[in-house]
Amino acid sequence: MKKSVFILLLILINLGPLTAHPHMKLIPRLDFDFNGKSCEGFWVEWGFDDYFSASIIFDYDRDKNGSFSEEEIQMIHDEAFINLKNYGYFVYLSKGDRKFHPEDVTDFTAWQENKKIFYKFYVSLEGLAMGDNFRVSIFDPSYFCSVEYQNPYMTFNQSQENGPDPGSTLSINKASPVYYDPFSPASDGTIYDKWGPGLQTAYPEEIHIFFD
Amino acid sequence: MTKVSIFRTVIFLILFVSAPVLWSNPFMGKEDSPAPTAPGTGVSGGTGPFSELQFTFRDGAASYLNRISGAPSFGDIAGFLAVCFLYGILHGAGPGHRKTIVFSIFLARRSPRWYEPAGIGFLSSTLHAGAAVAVIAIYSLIEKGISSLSSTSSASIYLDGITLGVLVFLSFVLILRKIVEMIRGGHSHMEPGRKNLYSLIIIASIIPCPGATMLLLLALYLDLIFFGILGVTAMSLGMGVLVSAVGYLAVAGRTGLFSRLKRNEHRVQLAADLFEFLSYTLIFLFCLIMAWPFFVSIFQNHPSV
Repeated sequence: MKKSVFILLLILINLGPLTAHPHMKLIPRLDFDFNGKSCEGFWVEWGFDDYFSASIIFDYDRDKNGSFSEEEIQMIHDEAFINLKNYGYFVYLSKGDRKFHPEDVTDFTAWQENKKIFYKFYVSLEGLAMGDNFRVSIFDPSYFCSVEYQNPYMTFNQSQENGPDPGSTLSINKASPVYYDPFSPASDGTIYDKWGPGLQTAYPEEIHIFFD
Repeated sequence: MTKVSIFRTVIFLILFVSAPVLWSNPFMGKEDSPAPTAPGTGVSGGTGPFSELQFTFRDGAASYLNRISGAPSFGDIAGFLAVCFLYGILHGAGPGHRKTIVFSIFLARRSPRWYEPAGIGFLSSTLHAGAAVAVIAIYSLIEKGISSLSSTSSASIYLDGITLGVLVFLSFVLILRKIVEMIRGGHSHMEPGRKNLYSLIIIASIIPCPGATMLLLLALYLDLIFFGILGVTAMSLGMGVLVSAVGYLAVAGRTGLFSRLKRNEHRVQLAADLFEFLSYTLIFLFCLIMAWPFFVSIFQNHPSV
């Protein structure tokens, strides 16, 4: 009995190592394309910290000329980006009670400035009926990346002449938690609508887009 | 062997299982072969002021390294080392970093010498950081020697694979040792010797420290590997301070709890031996299964994620 209690105590003490903690900083900014009050899609731009930047530059700037060629960008895409498809590209879309990841992204590019790297890709909202009121969040369910938005966190383009400007906020939405299974395989991109046994809950910051 | 073995094994297993979490970078991998999800990702410990403070020191170290790559001053170098030292303390206070095993060792040590917690704490942190240096050195050698590998690999694959490979080997040695000991009927009724404790620390600490590895990779990119090693040394000292403090904490709190457990020592002798053997076997099989794809791909000359 005493042994069991002691082992249990030790296991409880050892729960610390089972917690994940970020090793990398992701610095996003979103650029929305509007046609009137309809959002057609948005660009996701990610900045990265010195460490990941150095690693990517070291690995993929093969000619060491301080910029990425098309071939180098393709290698980055194939080896240091596309795996995010298994994580929904870290992009969570929500409209009312509906939550989902984009099925695909396009126009990936990468560049470097002052020894920092940036990724950029496009998320099309065509056919998704997002309307004039929806939310977007960037969240890494594996907790490898800490997310810290750029300032400003969003910009927009209005293609309709004299079209309205959208309003936006960036905040934690306690009414919209993200549930995720920390033990699921990488290929599991399930989005859970409600909490269940074994699921963890997170409240990532959300960009709320709306029109008055 | 005593029931101390059970505790050591339990802790070793938990530490081992948690280790790969550090290297499951979701960015790395290909569309048709996603990066493996490490077992035991668990709940997030990654948000909040503690994490932010770690990032502050980590970013500070990067800034100093960038300045050193220009026109370094004594102040820059001193600042870099100080920031690395503080980062080491904070990093060591986070999940992992062998605090638990050191804590457990000194729960088991009946009468440690006054310097042993510090000795083992610094040994552990030095090995933990030193493993990062060694693995980066190996990785760099591979990159220079076989350039085609660099297009299909990342440091994390090698770090995971090599660490797992070492653990496969060590757990196999432990199994053999345990079998020989059980065949000879050699139960140790004494507390674990210093040699055993140091062996355990070496086994548990050779997993490369992710913080040290990132610092070294940055230094490598800036062609400042000497300062990178200096920074890792300072970071290792910081982690050593923290891990040693945990050891002294265990020594201070051990006596009452552990002396009670000692009364059951004879009755758990056989169970302890069997449990230890089965635990080592489990570690061996688990490591082998995890490491198998890496080694198969190495022999095929194209490791995949």
